[in-house]
Amino acid sequence: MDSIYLLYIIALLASLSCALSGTLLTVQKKAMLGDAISHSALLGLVLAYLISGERSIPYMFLGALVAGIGTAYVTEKLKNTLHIQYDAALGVIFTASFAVAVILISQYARQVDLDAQHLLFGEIALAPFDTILFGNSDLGPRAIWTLSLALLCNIVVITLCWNRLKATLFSTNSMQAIGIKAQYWQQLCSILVAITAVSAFESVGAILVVALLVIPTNTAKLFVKHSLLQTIIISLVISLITSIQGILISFWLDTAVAATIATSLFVNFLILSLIQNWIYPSKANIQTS
Amino acid sequence: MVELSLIALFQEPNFLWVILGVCMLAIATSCVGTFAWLNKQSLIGDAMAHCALPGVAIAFLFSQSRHPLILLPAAIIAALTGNAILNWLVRRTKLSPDSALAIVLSGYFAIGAMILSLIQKMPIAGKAGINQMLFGQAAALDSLDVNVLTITACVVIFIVMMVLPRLRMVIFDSQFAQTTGTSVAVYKQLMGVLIVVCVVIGIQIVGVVLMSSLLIFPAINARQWSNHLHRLLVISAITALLASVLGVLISYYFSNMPTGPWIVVFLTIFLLFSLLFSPRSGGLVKRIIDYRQQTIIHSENITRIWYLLHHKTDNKNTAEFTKTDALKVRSMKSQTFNRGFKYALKKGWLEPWGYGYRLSTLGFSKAEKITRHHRLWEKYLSENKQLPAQQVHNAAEYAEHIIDDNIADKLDEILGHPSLDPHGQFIPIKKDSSQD
Repeated sequence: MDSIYLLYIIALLASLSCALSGTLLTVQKKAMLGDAISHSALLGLVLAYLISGERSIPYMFLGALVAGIGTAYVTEKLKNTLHIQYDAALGVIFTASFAVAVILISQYARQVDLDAQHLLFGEIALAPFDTILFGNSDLGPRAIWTLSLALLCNIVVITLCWNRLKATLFSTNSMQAIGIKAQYWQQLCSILVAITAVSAFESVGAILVVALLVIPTNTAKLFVKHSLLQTIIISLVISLITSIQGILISFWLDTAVAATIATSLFVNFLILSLIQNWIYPSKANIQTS
Repeated sequence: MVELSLIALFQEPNFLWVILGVCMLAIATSCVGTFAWLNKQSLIGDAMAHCALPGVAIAFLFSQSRHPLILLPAAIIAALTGNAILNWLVRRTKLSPDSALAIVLSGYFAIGAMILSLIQKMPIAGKAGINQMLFGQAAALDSLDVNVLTITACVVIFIVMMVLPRLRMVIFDSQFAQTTGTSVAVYKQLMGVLIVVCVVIGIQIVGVVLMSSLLIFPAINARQWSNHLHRLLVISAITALLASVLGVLISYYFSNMPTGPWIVVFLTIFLLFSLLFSPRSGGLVKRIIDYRQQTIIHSENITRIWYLLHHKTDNKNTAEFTKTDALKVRSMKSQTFNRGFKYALKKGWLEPWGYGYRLSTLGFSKAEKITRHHRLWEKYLSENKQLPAQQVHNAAEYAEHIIDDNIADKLDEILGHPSLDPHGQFIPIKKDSSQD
């Protein structure tokens, strides 16, 4: 298949799965968790690389996943047991693990075929060429497989647990009063985000992951009032359209694909928020005050 | 890898200037960071650092030079626009602050990355140096960089010192500040500007991704040791200073090592130390000791349950009881019960017997002792403190674990060797220590 079509497929898969779990993240007011997970996943990648001693894909995916879930868990623990502000705890965990990862990479530069800079910026344009070989047959790009899995995970979990998730995310306290363990459902969300972020960031880069997780849902939230379903649908549409727009612009300007998609997400968001503010100026003010 | 000896390193004049600049930067950043953290804006530094990237990239693209007096103002302007957009989003839309932060951060970084990818494809000299912005490299600073860095940091420290009382008022009690005629908005804006300036000059050393750590780590670290603002500022400045000097030393000593990550590693070590050993906000060590103490208390209670069961049953021949019997006497959470029960088994106070468990000789004397303390204390409270009998039990539940043999003997003496407690239950007589 032509690599340009594969590029479209990878970008679309990434944006769909990120938009799904990003909505759950934003609803919990934990938008920065996505940023933290995609940074600390680097430590998991490096450690898995050093322990297994080879670029074995399942190990590295597992390592990054464990690091991502660990970040969410340890942050929650730091906040609850030591009473450190949530975002401060987040900042501590992800910068510390990212720093250790960068040091390990520079120490074992010869053994580790990883580049922190590459993982930050991501180069989606290279993803179609990183294929899985099974025996002699080419199974297609690895990113497509992992991202499809992540998307499947998101769809399955969200459709199966729709009511519980909706209830626990919006009214944590009242659910806890009834006796539903809200924190388990919130942890499920964190795991979902970790799976999505880890499978996306290897091919599209940490920054695009954050942009894809946060920006589409918040763009949708500008216009949707109280419906989670509408937010998800609109954010899916927005991320689909913007991904295609970003890819086209990047071909036109000859810039990095991932960065261009994220930039167009940001610019679209700014334009739409200005329009929203222009149409309903008083409404927004009432809601914040 | 070029390795210099430490002494030779210190004789190098450029190195000493770098160390001085880094010290000033650390003090300025930790002060501003403490205020940001107190204002519950810990990750603002992270966002501002990412916002600076497009400024640097655009300035480099058009000027094609890495002169600090071109790049730094551009970075500051870019970060300030980011800050303005952030504030606008928080005030004028219904998005939550953390979402706004994540949006601005990723959006600006994406713009920066896009322009960097353009630069990579252009034939411009010195474009490799721009990438050092990501992780920071102190060794790459020249004397002009260091001068700009030191002077800016000193200016920031000076401004913070000047506005310290007002800033403190604005952050801790903005309504009070407003009533005294202080313009809260102006000071919040000033704080935003100070954060931006600190972050931008720090990026050269710590790097974009890790810059926020120099703002928040020292503040959290200091908070473990004090809750007084001045001490907080001093402790956080010292933490930041030590960590950054150590980080710079390592990156000079091993030439392949980036500076920023090592500074963060040292900051993490300091923070871990504080979390483990500080007496304030419940250090981990203190928590572990508390947990152990609780386990002992639970297991003493459980041992006493067996003792009470033994004395309650009409059939005194049976000494064995199950966990269910025990939980009927005294309701406990199953988790805490199991914790204490395991400890009692480990200590040999209880032993498996027949269909359940029974008290060992050791456990029997232990339980007898605790019961004696409990009932003596109840007696003491009702006799000497004139408390009604139904109120003394709960107090005795606590005291029984604290009272030691000497206090018990004294109580016994004061009360004139009573045989019954206020509830009419017998008080066990003290056995001679030779019998144990």
